[in-house]
Amino acid sequence: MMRQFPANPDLTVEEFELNMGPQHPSTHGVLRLVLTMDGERVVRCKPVVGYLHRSIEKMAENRTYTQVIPVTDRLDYCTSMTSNYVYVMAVEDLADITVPPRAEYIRVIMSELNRIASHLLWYGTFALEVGATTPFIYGFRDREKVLDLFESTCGARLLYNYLRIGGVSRDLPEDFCERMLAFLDEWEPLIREYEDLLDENPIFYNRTKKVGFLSAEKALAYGVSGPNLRASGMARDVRREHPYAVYPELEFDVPVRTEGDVFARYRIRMEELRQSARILRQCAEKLPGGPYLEPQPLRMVLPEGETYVHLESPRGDIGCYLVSQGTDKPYRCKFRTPSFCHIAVFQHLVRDCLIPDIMAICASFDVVLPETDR
Amino acid sequence: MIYDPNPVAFWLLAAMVAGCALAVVRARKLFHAGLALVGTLFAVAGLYGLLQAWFLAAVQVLVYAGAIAIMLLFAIMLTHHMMNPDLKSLTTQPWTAAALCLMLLAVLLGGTLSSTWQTAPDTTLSPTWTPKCGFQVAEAVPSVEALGFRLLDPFTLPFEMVSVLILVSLIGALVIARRDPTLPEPPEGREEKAP
Amino acid sequence: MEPIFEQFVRDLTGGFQVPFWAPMLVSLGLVLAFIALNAMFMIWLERKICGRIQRRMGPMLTGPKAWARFSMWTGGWFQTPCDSVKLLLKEDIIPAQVDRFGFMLAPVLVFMAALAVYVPLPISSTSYAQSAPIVVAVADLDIGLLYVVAITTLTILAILTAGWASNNKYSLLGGMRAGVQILSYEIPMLFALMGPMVLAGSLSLGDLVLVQHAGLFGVPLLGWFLVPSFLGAVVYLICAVAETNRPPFDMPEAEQELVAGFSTEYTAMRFAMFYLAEFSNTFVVCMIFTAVFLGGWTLPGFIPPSSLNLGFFSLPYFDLLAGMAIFFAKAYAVVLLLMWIRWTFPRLRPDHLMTFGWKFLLPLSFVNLLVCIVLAAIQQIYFGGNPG
Repeated sequence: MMRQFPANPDLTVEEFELNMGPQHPSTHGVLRLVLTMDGERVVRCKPVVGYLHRSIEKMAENRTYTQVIPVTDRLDYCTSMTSNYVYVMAVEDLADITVPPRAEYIRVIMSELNRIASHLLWYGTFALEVGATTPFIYGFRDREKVLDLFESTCGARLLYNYLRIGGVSRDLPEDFCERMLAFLDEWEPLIREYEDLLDENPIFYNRTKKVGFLSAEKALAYGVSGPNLRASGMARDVRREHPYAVYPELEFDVPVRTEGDVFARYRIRMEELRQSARILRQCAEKLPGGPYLEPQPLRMVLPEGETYVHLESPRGDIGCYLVSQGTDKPYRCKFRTPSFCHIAVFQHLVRDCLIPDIMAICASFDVVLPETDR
Repeated sequence: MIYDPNPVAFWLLAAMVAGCALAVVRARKLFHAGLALVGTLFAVAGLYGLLQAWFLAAVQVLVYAGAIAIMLLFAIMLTHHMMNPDLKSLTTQPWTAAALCLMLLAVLLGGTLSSTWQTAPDTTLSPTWTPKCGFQVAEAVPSVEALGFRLLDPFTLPFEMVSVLILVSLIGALVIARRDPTLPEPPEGREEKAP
Repeated sequence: MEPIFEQFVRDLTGGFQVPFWAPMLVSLGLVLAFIALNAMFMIWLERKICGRIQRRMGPMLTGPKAWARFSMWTGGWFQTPCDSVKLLLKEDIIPAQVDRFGFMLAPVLVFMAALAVYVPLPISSTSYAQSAPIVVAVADLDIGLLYVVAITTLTILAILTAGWASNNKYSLLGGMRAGVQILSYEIPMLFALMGPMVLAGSLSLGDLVLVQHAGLFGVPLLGWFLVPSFLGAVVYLICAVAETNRPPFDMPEAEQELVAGFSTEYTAMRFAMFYLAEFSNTFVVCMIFTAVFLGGWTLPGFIPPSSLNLGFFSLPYFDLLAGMAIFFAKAYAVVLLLMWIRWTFPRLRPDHLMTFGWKFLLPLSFVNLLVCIVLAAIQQIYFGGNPG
């Protein structure tokens, strides 16, 4: 496509197409962005998704309810616990199963630990996109400690397959709470270190302030959720609006900002790290004894019906729509994932941006492709 | 002090000048012509060095090879397709062109051979130069200081006029490169307009 | 180099007259050897500093295991030679659609620039058997500073050629970005260097160091041009980081965005040339900073004796060696500073880079020039000019 200068019609400027990905050192996962560039500025951005499609939802239709749980792990592998949780919650809702209180607390502990791990991974990759290599190592180093906690509980570091319908698959180890509190005591002051590296840095400031502005109206129109929505001024958090598990009994703040730029999204996630630590301390205090699982038959048969549940994953609002036709396998299991909406809105934010801005905006949205493509 | 440049060095540099100049004209790809031009300018800087005009040599590299030639290369890269096909020669009247070139050659040769060239430094104008580290030199040598003194003393007016000229060209470049005011200003990553 | 070399050979062999081409060849050999060895050391140092800042150990597995067990700083000594051998053994791929001439020329040009810039850099001086110090450099040019800046333009040329010849949109973008970046930051760099030039009254790097040794307003401690020309030193350091395409100014090579920028299509030894040239340039820039702002090979008030008496034998050329030791210590300190900056800061966006260079650094360098002119005038009028 050519653009002409009105004052000098003989001069034309040709736009050219630049293909970013699917193999690219910086796109988060296997995302292809077809950019139409006018010099250094982006005129149009078309994301092409689907490179990671594994037909998880179709697979779910051919497995029993319990067999679907490991498949949901792979839905968003950075927050495997949350993906498990949303599906298990849907099944329990449909089958009207009450989960023992200890299991609820364990699930919340795991969700919040997963939030910390996911945000630390996000922090590392976000800083790397902006060009700072050191925060990457810092984020991952501390993430290792969280993964150690996970490993001692369920044996896996990334894909946990921990939750079961009616509770969790095994109890926490005896010293789990001490180790978790020791980790929090050691790590919470380090959040200050992460912020010190980036917050006051003028280079970082210039890269992130007023870049990638997302208005609240547009965010709502596209179904943006989670920290991205809260950075645009809307105070929406599933844990507050439709509380699940033991969140009503826990005290925590939901950080909200109004600027809607990359910096706001960054600050919100750093604040959420602190809030997660707060939640974890309360859970460690209030953790009751008792059974950790309400045992269900291996081959469960659910009554006919449908349900939709959602919860707050580190990325946003993840939902599961479950339809049962009275058999032992789900008839339809649809996942509503936040990253899908984020990619959809992202293409409109990068107009007239430079390539480095694209990376910064994409990283600030915390998009993971497996969740988008399923 | 009589200049005594090494003849081997001189002939090598002269060959490089002539060879690169030929390459500029005959190169098939425009970018190669640009590179050959840089080669020519470097060789000329080398010739200046042979004549002990070090400052001029450095400035030749800095300004000509390092700024003007690079600007040329930028222009080539921005206005041509990436790997442009061979340039075809556009001469429609080769014999007239050859005749004109021969006449030019005659004029240049005549002028060069018939004038008297200065082969030793002019000691009347530059002061005795005492370098800071304590050496004493018996006579003046060409130096940056001498050049500076001359710029300020006999050649002040040309110096000031050249600076005005450069300022004018700078302003002209800014005016030409300014964004067309009739086009709307692109927003800096703000909310986009309707797609 | 000639006087020192001839003196050295005469002392060693008792009066042998070296042919005119010998000092040139010896200098070339020494500089090449230095580039290679220094690159090896600097790359190892870079990885260790990176590891230290990131709370890990850096390369540890190559080299004698006993050394690695001792401490983090003694492990992994052979990493860079191993990497160099690996690079040498890699297949040299020339993609079919590239412009072969330009593609092959670019690494040569960049290495030429890296090599040529060593010529006026002084690393020491001697007063051995002479009444005035002889500066140890390949050639202490009268126009040393100007020469150094002029040679960086050759680097721009090499990068532009590499970017264009690779027949790849990413490389072209990277090449043009790098070219524009280096061009833009050359100007504040030149003006920042003009401050010391005015203070010393000479463009020769050797002269600059000797004037710094003599001191400002008669005080040797204030002599280092870091003091009167502090703004200039800061501007120069920032411009130097930009000139060598180091983070935070490494947008042309930003891995996250352009794969490897202008050197995307280069493999094996051709890539090694770019890499080597980058590290060499980094060290050269630190050397220039040391010579111009940190007093070079001199310490204020200290003149090393020309030969050290160790009791059973006396070490000749001691002033030369002491000067070299001091110079390299300072240069490596600046290198450490640059590495620290690299691993801490994020990357500048291209338009921020341009804004910063043109709208902030350039006016700052003008201010610095004014300050230096005033100080030089005061020196001239009240303190009797530059000390001889």
